[in-house]
Amino acid sequence: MAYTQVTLAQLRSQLLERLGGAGANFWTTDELNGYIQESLRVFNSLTGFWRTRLLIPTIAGQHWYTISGTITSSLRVAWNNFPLNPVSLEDLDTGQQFWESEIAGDGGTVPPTPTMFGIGALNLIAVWPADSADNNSLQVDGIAATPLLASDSDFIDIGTEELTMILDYCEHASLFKEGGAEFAATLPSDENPGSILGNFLKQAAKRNATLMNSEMYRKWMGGDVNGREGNPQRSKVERAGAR
Amino acid sequence: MAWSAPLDTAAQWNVTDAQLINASAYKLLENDGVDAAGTYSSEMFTVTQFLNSLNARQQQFLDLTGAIITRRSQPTTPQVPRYALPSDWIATRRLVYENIDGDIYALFRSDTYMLDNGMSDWMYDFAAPTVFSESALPTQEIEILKAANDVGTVTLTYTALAATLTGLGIKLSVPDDFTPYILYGALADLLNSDGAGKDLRRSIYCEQRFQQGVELAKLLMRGAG
Repeated sequence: MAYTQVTLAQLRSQLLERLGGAGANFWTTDELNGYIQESLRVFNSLTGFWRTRLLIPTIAGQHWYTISGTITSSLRVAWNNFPLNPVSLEDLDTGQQFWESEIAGDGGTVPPTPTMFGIGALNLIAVWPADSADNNSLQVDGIAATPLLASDSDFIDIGTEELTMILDYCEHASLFKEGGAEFAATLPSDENPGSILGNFLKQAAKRNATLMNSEMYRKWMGGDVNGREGNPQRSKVERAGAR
Repeated sequence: MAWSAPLDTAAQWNVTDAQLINASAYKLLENDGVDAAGTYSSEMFTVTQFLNSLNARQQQFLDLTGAIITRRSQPTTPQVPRYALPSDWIATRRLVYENIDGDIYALFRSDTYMLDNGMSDWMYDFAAPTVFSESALPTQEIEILKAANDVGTVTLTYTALAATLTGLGIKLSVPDDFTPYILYGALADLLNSDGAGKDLRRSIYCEQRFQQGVELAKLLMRGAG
């Protein structure tokens, strides 16, 4: 899908149209800008839409490296353009007991260059074995921090489908302060399968299959799992008709 | 013996508590129709109440997810199993031991019941440590077992106390993209507090949004230690 440049001013204008047009004075400009930024952050955290690469020079004998704030979550790591295999720290601890004291070229079961990386947390990764020399390159590809739209002319490159998703979420977030039926209508439920928040989460799951592996996220998308298991043939709300 | 300074450079993020105060003012209709400026216009909630919840939710997020970790080390004393934890310790994620030969390996989590039944001499014998325990100990202490006969070094990986948010522009201790979830966690507390502002329906929604952030962080870090 073709990407287009959309400025903050354009996003705000489109959001205002959804909220009732230029006469919608229930929200300030600063407030709408905040909802747009929130929307972009939630969209990015769920889909990993913005990616970036961080280059870290290696330090001889060092296993742990800090991931700076430019990357929210590490996805893959390479050493001098050779991809490293992901591994859990538990697997390393149990399968290669002394991995934190092993340096490339040690011999035995230790390979001559780094071959694996493990995620310690969002801010830390480990490599095994440690590099034996300084200033080789660790290339960390990960989810970038969401672009900050600070002025009206700041823009993002985005496809039409993603733009619709983002505006859906913006509308939902804008209606939070209204509460009541207006806000409830944006929430997913068995009785409201087409809610804008539910659609937003489902669209996000199409872009990030990991979300579909989470029972909690599947439920938040609008499936009342427990309710259906308890009484799968009935809706919570009685309706006219044969059933 | 004392713990070292953090072994890794701290990552920096940009969202501040002051920005979240303004965001909350909009969501709670506390901006009085104009741009939010760090205050609440009604008496339903107070900024202090929001900041208290924000601090608690940030800490809860870090504790539940282990999303941001700190590493510190300290030399161990021969035949001494117990060590005070760092003053900013919240939860232990991992502990490794370096013996006198320079071999570094992970100690596995255990407790006194397992030790009593599986390593019955743990209280008086000394050998290369293999496990650590946090059970049946004074507050803020950790024990490595068995205690080594030689000097060594332990490196603790843990969740640390986050910077206290005062409303004066302190940066949050989580990546920017997770700050909306922390905000919703604090809003859940406010909307669930007794008083004119109580709104259970929106409080439940906000709590769900906070839980979405927790779940998402866990999904992103599958395999993390």
